Amino acid sequence: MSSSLSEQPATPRGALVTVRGAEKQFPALGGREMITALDGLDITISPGSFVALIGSNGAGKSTLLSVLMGAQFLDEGAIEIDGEAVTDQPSWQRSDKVAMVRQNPENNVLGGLTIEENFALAVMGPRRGLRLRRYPRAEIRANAAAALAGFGMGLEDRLDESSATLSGGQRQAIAVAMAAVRKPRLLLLDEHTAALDPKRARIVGEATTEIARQHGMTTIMVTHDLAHAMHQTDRVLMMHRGRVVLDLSGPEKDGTGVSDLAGIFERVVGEALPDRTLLAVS
Amino acid sequence: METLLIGAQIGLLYGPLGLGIYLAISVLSLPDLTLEGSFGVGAATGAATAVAGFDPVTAMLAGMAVGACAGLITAVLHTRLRMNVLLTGILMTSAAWSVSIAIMGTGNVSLVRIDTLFTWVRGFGVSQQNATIIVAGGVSLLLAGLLAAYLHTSSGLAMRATGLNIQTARSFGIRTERYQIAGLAMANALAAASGVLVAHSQGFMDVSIQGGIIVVGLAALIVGMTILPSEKIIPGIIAVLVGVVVYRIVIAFCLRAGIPPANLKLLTTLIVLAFIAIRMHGGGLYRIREWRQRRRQHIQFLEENRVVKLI
Repeated sequence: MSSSLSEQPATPRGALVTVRGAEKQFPALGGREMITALDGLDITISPGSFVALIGSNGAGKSTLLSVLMGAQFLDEGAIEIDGEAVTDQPSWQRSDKVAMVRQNPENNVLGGLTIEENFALAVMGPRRGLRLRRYPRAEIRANAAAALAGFGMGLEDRLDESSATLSGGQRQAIAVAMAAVRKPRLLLLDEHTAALDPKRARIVGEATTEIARQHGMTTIMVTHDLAHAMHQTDRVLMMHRGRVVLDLSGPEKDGTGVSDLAGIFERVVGEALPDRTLLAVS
Repeated sequence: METLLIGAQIGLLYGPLGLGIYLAISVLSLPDLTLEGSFGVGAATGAATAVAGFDPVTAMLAGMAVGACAGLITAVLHTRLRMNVLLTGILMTSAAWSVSIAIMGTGNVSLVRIDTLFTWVRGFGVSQQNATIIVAGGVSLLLAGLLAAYLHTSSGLAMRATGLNIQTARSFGIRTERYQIAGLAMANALAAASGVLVAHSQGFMDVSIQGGIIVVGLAALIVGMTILPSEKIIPGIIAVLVGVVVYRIVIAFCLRAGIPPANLKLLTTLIVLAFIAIRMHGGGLYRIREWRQRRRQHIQFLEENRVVKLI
């Protein structure tokens, strides 16, 4: 146990993501007290790896993804992505390196635009190609159709439709497909299947894993599904109160079962697992 | 027929203002009241430059440039001082009154015997009413075409994204604050173009013409969106132009029916409210069957959090 309770990264050299001494506090409701979301966090993630981030509510998982995306900024500490210091870089400037799929489908796809227009922005924005002329329509449509075909939802034939008419599952599928077309170095998934029904969640989850593996995208996935975390990823990080309290990878991870992980979770965190997680274990 | 023509004649003068409101409110989701001030400073600049001997097109472009500056200031105050757009607009409109007087050097200017686009078209033997319709309609259509063309470029698409969801737009690599600044400058230039048209067509410019003018644009937007509800750009732009003409036709009919002009502002409010009621309830306003459903929708509305901090 003691070796797995390490906060030190397994592969510090040639890392794609390096987070050093990250601190982030939020004012609690009412304003006087501060809640610590990240507490001197150190993480190193090697290129091409698929990492699961687990932990109880309020552990700092979503905050970590937000600061990696650039939607929020650290109080202290430094972040490097793909060899570039991005600590104070706004999200639009990171968009060529980082893509994020959020939990709420409404925040991933722009409802007032068609599917094609969403893809056009997702491709042209990070390329700094937003000019006073129309986007290359044929190229965008071909890429979008190819990426959407993998989900088997028939969305590739509906590129001209307004995204406002789409269901949550369809929107998440589009969000993952847009990330695939952008080919970011780092893909962040913030419980991106949590708002979907079990069947859609599985379809979108499996297609996401396949896309990430196929393009060799370094992926950090926040999830409450311990089975998914253990079986589909290379490394599992457990966060608690703004720190990494468990770092499993390689043979050590292979030798750990889902129920072992649930046991470790309860011991380390000192509280019962959320119901959803327990359901996934049983 | 005469009433319809009067409606079109006056309505089209406010076409560019409607386009500005559409860009600020519908596209960018920024309730910018600076448009009212820009209408005033645009008209003042258009009048002052025409009096100084510049040709009407230069006067129009100068008016639009000054309006764009007003929008630029509002946008920079919004993005730099983090001021609420509504509050900024109120302050800017108040300041615009003094700026208009400073531009003209006086509170009102006569444009009689000065060349404008309207006098130029009348030179071809066209009646004053038709000349106004041709010039105002031409300028409105030209600006509407330019706006529609811009909003269909990649850059215009990014501006639409900025008005839909800032976080999502930024994660797509869109520098949203720049699009807000550019968008508000464009919207205010459009409002200023309307100001120049109105001043040039009526042959004089008085600083008081900006007072309450934003309501005309809002009425155009609401009437247009009720008649032609669409999220798409071209139907949206057509809707706002149709809206401003329909609104003025309704006003013209009311005046013809003998309602005193002093009641015009009350009338405008009632027209806007009537169209909002139609939009909300459609034809089902008096259908008993839908009463329960409407009541539920109403309670749902009351349950939602609508608190917005102004300062």
